Amino acid sequence: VILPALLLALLPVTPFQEAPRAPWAPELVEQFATLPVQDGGRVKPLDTVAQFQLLRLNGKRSFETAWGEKLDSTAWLMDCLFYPEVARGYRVFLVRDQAVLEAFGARVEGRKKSDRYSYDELVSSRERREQLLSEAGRIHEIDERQRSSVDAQLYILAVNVRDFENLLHALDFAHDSLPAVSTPFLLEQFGSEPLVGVAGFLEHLPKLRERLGALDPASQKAEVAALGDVSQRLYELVTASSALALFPPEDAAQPTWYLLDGAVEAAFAGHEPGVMGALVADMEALARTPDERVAFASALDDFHGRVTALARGRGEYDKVPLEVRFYRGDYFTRALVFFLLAFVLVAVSWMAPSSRWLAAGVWTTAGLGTLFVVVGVVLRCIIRERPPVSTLYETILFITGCITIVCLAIEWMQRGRIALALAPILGAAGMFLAMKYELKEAVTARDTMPSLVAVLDTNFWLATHVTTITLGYAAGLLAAALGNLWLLGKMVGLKRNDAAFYRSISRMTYGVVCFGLIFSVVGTILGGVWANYSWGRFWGWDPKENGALLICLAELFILHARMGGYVREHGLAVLAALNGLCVAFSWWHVNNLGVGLHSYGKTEGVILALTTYYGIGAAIVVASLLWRQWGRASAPAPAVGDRKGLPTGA
Amino acid sequence: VKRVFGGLARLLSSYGLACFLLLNLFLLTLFGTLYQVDNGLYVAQKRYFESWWVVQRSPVPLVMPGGLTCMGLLSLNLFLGGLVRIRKSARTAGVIVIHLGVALLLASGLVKLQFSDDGNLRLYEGEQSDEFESYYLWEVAVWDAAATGPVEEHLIPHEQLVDLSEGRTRRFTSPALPFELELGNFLVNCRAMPKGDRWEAASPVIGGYAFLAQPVDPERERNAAGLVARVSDRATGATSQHLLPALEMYPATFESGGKTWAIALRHKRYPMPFAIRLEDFRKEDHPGMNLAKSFESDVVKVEGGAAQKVRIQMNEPLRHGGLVLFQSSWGPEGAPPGTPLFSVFSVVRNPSDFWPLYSCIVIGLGLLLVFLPKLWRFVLSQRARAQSVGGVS
Repeated sequence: VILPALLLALLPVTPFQEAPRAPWAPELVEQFATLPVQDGGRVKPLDTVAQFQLLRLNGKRSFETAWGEKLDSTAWLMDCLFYPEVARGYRVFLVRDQAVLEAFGARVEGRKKSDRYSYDELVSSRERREQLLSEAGRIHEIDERQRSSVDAQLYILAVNVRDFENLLHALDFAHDSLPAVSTPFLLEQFGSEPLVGVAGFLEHLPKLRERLGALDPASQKAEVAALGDVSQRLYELVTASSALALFPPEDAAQPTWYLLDGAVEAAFAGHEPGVMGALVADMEALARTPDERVAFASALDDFHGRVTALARGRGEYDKVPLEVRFYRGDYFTRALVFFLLAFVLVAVSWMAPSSRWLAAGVWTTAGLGTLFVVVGVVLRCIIRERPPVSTLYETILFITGCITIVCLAIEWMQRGRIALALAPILGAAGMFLAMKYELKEAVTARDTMPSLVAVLDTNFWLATHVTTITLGYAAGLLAAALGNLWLLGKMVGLKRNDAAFYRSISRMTYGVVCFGLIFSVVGTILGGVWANYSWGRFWGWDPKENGALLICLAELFILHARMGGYVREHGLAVLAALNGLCVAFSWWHVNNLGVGLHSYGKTEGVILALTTYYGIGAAIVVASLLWRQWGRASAPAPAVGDRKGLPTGA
Repeated sequence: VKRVFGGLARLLSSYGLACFLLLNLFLLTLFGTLYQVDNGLYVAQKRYFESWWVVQRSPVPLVMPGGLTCMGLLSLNLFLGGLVRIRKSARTAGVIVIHLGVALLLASGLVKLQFSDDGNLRLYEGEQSDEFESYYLWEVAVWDAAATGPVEEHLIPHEQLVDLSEGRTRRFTSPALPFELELGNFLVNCRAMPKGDRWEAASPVIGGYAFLAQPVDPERERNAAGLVARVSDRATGATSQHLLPALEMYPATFESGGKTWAIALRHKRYPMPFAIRLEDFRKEDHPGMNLAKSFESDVVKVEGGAAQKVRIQMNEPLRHGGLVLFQSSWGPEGAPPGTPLFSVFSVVRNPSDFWPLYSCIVIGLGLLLVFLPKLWRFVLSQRARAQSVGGVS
C-alpha cells in the first residue's frame, strides 16, 4: 500500500483543470459536420472547412485541450462558434520559429522554438494585434518570392489570426441588441425589452411595413429615420458576423450562397422573412442555447433540415455526406500505416527469406495500402466529378497508387520479391509526401479539392493528357527506384553472387522505361494538342512542356543507347536513376521557376526538397560510377576477344 | 566516292548520332528552360531552339549544335536510320510507324515555323473587324487621311524596318505617292516624350518631342517600337520629319501633292476572309471567388453577306477559312459592373493545325505495336520462370 502511494507521490503533478463546458455529443458533432457550406467556389461539408482551418492553424486535424479532452476539427469549430471565450484559450496556433513572435512583440517565455500558442497568448492586447496587422501590411507589399522565412510565416499567422477572429465573432449578432426603442412607435412595435439578435426584427417586418404605411407622411418620415438607425446597427452586426456561406439562395439561378448579411438582406427583400428569416432565427437559437443541449439539438435539427432541403433543391447536397465519410475514412493515413507495416515485414523477411507467412504478410499489407490509396482516389473522383488528376496534390496520390499497383503486378509475374519490397517503400514515401503537401495546400488553397481555373475546366483533357502524362511520371520514378536499387545493391554487395537478381532488376527497369515512354510521348503530344485547342499553338517551349519533352528525350536516349549497345545493365541503371531526377524536375521544379503558362502549381519550400533529392540522386550515380571504375581498375585485364565486338559504354 | 557516301550514310543513320542528338536536344531544352527565368521566352527560344549553334558558358563551357541544326540532323537520322536503312520486317513494323509519326510531328513544326501567322483580335461588344494584328511584327502604313470608305494603304513590312538602327536609313518610293519616305532610327522599345534636360534623347528632337529608349522587355509583345520618318515632297522638295511611336491612337499627318497623308507605325495586320462581330462577352467566376470559371464570347461570323452566330470559349475555338480564333483574354480588368467589356481572341493561321494530332495517333499506335508484344512476351517468360522455381514467395 505504501509503495504505490510513494510512487504516486513521485509522479509529476498535472494541475487539474475543469472542463468549461460539457463535451459535445457525437451525434451533434456528426450533424454539424454534415452541414453544407459554400467555400472556395464549391459546396462542401462544414467538416471539411473545419479540418482545413484547423490544419492551417495547428498543422494537425485534432488536438487535446488543457483539460484532456481530444477535439476533432468539427468539435473545435463548434467551440469557436458557440464557446468563443473557451476557444480563444486553445493552443492551436503552431509557430515554428519564435522570431515570428518577436517580430510583433508577442514572445512567450518558457516555450520551445517550435510550439503552439493560444489566441489569447498571441494577441494579448489591442496594441499587440495592431502590431501584428501592421507587420502583415508591410509584408503584403513584398513580392512573395522575396519574403524572408520569418516574414512568410508571420504573414500566414496574421491571416490565420484574422480568420480565427471571424469564426469567434460569427454569432455575435445573436447576442447584441438593436436600438429599437427610440420612438413610441417603435416601442409599440417591438416592446420595451431590448431587441436581441436580428430574427426578432425580421419577424416584425411585415407588420411594421403595414403600420408604417398607415402613418401620415410626416410621422412616417420621422419613423423611417429612426428605423434607419436600427437598420444601420443591424447592418453592422450582420456584416461583422458574416464568416460562413451557410445560406443557399432559394433562387437556383443564383450561384453564390449567402453569408449572414446576404441572408438577412434576402429576408428583408421579401414580403415575409421566409426561409432565410427562419434560418437566421435557427442560428440565433443555436447561439443562445449551447448549454441547453436538448434545445440546442432541436435548433440544430431545424437548421440542418432547412439548409439541406435548400441545398438538395439546388442539387448541391448529394456529395456532402460522402465527403464527410471520405475524410473520416482517412484513407491515405491508413495507406501509410499499411505501407510502413509492409516495409517492416519486408525488412524482417530479408532475415528469414524462406518464410511464406512473412511473404504473405507483405503481400497483404502492401495490397491493403494500395487498396486504401485506390479507394481514396476513386472517392475523390466521385466527389469532384473529375478524372483522378486535376491538381498537383492529386498527382502524388495517383502516382503512388500506380507505382504500387505496377510493383505488385510485376511481383505477381516475377515472384522475385524485388518489386514487392519496393511497393511499400515507394508507397510510404508517396503517402508521406502527400501528407506534407496537404499541409501546404491547407495554407495556400485551403482545400485539396479546389476550384479550377477556366482553362483546366475540361474533363476530357484532364482524363486524357493529364492522366497519361502522370502515368509517364509514375513509370519514370519507378524505373528510377529500380535503377537506384541496382546501383545501391551492387555497391553494398547485396546478393553479390546472384547475377540473375540484377538481370531481373534490369529487365524490370527496361520494361518500366518502355511503359513510361509510351505514356510520356502520348501524354506530351496530347498536351500539345490541348494547347492547340486552348492557346492556338501546339508547342511554345513553355517550361512545363519542356519538362515533359525532357522525360521523352531522356527515355528515348535510354532506349537508343541500349539498342545501340552503348549501355548494359550498369548504364541502364545509371540512366534510369538520372531519368528520375528529370521526372522530379518536370513534375515539381518547372512550376517553381515563376515563368510560363503552367505556373499554377507554385509551392513554397519545394526547391530545397528538390535540391536534396537531386543531390542524393547524383551522389548515388557518381558513387556507382566511381565504384565501377575502382572495380575495373582492381580486376584482372580481360582476355582479348572477351567483348565479342560489342561496344561497352558505361 | 561510294565508300565515302556509304560511310556518311552509316554515320547519319547510326544509333551513335541518334544518341548524341537526343542528348544535345535534352541539354538545349534544359538550358533553354532555365534561361527563360531571367531572359524571357522569346530570347530563350531564339538562342536555343531557333539557332544553328549555341555557346553555353555555365555550368560548364560548351559549344553545342543549336535547335535548328540538332532537329535538322535528327530528322535526317530518323529518316535514314528509322525509315530507309532499318530492316523491314514484322518485328520492326512498330518502330517504322513510330518514326513515321515523329517525322510527321517534325514536319508539322517546320510547316508551322515557315507558313503560319499568329496574332490577336480585340473587339468591344458591338464592334466588328475582318483583320487581326500580329503580337510583335511591325509595319508602316501610309494612307490618304481624307479618304472615306475603303482606304488604300501603302505598307512597308517588318523586315524593312527592324534593321534601321545605328544610323542606317532606307528610302521608299511609290509611283502612287507624291513623296519619298526615308525611315530610320528604329528602336525596339521606346516612348515619345517632350524633350527635357534630364534625359538623353534616342532620336532627333522633332517638334519638342523625342524618343526615350526603354529597356527591351524579354516578353517581346510588351515592347513598343519607334521610328523616325523623313518625308520629301517630290514636286517641291519640301521635307518634314516625324516621330512614329508605335501603338499611338492617332497617326502622324503631313501635306503633300495637295493632300493630307497619314503615316503610322503599327503591329502588322492580316486580313481575314470573313468578319467577326462581338455580340456579347461573359466572364463567370467560381461562386464567391475572384477566380474565373469560364470566359465566353458570342460572336457573329459575317461572310459574303451571310451571318452566323458562333460561341467561342476556352478550349472551344472557332475554326474557319484556314484560321482558328481562340478565346484569349478580356478587359478592362477590374471594370465595375456595366462597363463595356472587350474580348481578345488569339488568331492563328497554321496549315499544319491538325498534324500533331495525327502524329500522336500514329506514334501511339507504333508504340503499342512495339511494346505490347514485348510486354506479352515478358509476362509469359516471367510467369514461366516463376512457375519453374516453384512459385517461391
